[in-house]
Amino acid sequence: MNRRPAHVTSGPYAPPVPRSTLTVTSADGARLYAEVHGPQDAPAVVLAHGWTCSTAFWAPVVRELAADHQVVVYDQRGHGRSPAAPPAGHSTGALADDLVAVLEAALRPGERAVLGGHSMGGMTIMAAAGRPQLHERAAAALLCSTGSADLAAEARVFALRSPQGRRRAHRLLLRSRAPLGPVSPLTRRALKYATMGPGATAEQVAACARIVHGCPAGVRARWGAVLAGLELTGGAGRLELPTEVLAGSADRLTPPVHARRLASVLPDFRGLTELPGLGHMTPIEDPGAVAERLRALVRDHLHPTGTEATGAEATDTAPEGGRQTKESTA
Amino acid sequence: MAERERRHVRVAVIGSGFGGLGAAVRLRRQGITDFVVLERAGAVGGTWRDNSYPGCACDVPSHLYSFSFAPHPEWPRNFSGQPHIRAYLERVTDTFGLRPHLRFHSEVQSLRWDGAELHWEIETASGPLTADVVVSATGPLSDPKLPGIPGLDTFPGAVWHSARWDHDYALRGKRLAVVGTGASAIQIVPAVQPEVARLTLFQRTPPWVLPRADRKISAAEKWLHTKLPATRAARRQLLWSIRELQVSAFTKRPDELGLLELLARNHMKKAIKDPALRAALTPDYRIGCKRILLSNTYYPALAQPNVELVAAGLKEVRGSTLVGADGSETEADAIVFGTGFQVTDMPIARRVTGAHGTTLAEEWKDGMESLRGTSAAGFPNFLTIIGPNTGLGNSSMILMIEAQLNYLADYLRQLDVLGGKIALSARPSAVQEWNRTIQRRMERTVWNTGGCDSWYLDANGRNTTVWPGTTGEFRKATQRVDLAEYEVLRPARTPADRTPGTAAEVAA
Repeated sequence: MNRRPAHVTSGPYAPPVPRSTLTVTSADGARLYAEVHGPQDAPAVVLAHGWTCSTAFWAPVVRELAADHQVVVYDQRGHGRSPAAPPAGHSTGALADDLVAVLEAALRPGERAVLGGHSMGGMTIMAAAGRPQLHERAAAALLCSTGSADLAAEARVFALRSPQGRRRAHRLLLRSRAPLGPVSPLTRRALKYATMGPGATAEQVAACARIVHGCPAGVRARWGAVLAGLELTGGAGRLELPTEVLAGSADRLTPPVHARRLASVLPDFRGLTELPGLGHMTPIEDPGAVAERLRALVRDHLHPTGTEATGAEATDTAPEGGRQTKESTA
Repeated sequence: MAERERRHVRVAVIGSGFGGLGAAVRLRRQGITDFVVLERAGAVGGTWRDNSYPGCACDVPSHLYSFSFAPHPEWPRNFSGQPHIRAYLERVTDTFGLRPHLRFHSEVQSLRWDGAELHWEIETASGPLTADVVVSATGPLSDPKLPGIPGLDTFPGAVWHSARWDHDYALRGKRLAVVGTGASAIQIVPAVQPEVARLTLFQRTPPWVLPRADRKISAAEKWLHTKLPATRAARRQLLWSIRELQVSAFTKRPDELGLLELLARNHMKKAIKDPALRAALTPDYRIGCKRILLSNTYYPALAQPNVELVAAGLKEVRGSTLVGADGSETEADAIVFGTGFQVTDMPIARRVTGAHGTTLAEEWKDGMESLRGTSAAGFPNFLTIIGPNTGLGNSSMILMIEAQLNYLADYLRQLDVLGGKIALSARPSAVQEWNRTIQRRMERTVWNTGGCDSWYLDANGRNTTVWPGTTGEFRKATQRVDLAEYEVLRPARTPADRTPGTAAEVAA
């Protein structure tokens, strides 16, 4: 049972070899595995993956961006190569701690990055909204297939009619400790139904299945419990940086209603990309679209490195500079 | 007057009827104590305080027409009278510790949204205040509607509206004219008929009247309901379920209501023997199109020799002579108007000025519309209890009020979650979407197809008052506030915030 499936080793979904790897120590001492891809002096993009995933999840997006971006990916605690935390270490606060620790460790002093978060990775960015380090380091953010609250109530994996029934069923699903077992045609179908759009290719499903099956059931259940009780709307409301939202229209886990709510709540919302027919796994289902939004955020909000020694704000004179300098009132 | 600092509260509730008191209870349960309840009169009770006419009672069984959180095992009758309902509301006020929040004689004169401060400026008869959130629970049946009758000022006798009953006027031996045959009038007529010398009833359109299964609730039942609360809950559940099942006939299959018409005809036949009178009392529209009335005493009272039915509206008054639209002339000593209330043009709407500088009445000139019956576009943090399209044709409004209170509670929770000085403003697109759905569902309903004009319809013939579904559906639709349907308003930045240098310092 402990033999977890390996990642796919060829094709666009195989994890590329990083330029360097590092071990980041978070606020509570937890150790996190991080990878850096792409040229050293290129603009930086930091990507946070979602529930039951790992750095491998970002492989196709890294491949799209790494030629001209410095891409940092890391394993959320308990996922991939980052060791699991004790039960108390599972909270949105811990996710935020981990993100800011990675930003501090992986970026050069004064360097800023565009953040991308998928699902729980997006929640990580919302959770870190009030952190001063995020303000210093993040130039913009892309929230993919994510929500800030009410995940169990809004999910549509179980198409029950009664909202209470749906909420209960999804809570059970999120908190379930049931082992997924080996990747089989049946589990692949179930995974595709729950997390991907009808048009997802067999290759995409296989890549996802290997990643998701790689997550230990205990880690999955603990983080699932955090997701079941999620309330990050306040964090989203304090995320004072240019933020774009991306969602798949056929997402059963975080239906696009979440994205529309985020559009209401985000203080510096810059646009919603709804990808027709896609499910929850947008960075794998359409890495091109995700990379394109990240690229656009870099272009519009992240300026050539090297001139930032005096502080990012001083050089922050993009066309929409007036809107960008919204600062936390805290 | 000395310049006093305005008082600021988190929530200002307008009205202390079922809606306002319910909101107050809900706020306290939510942990919010920084609120006031503004009441224009000197006592709580709203509609059930103002309507004290003889025979006033509710036509929904009391065990359903009461708060789910404040059960009352001692209801004296199936359909309890106004004094008992009013006493119930007084008791709710005491039980839930609402007295400290009440501000009597504080009629709201104006409400103005301050977009810079993100709060409401409220002028009341007892002084100004500001509030983050306003809950308007002024009720649809609170401001009397009086038809403009030419020559009414020449009438030498007493004139009053059913909701403002003149208890000092001795009816005994007087010639009384009652105008209207709605829910109030049909309760007034049998109650005053034995006293007055002559009663003339002006009827524009006859109502459908069904038997009223009213009886005293026995001591045994009250005892059982007290000792075994589950029996009271079961009774309420049963009353509710029956009414939920009736809804589809009103909203989807009005033809099924034909059976009820048969029942109503038989009910009339038993008391009215005169075929001419029977013809005059038989409606020509589908039952349910106007509110179905319940009474066992109305028809028998009409058959009494001292009662005269004028099957036409009151056209004109010439001194003490009342002229009907059919040309008939009647002498009277007093006139009671049972002509209902200003329902489709919520009077408070004229006093509320929203974010665009226009009043709610101006925004609603083509018909009232609000998101989920609660939030009107352009009026941030302004929630209406019993707002547009939340009325019911057959069940207890308390169910709708409580559903809206759920929405109110979640609204305040969302404000808390978002934190800081913010406001929610319903997106016009969301309001339109909600109303499109409602009006589409309205097409088949008996209120729109039954062939009558009623107080459910506004001046344009649009039904902006009734909820075209079950109370369960409405409860589901108002369980949570969907932030996608709202715009989050934040305070405008001061120029200092925009200077990069300052911003950098703030961030550092």
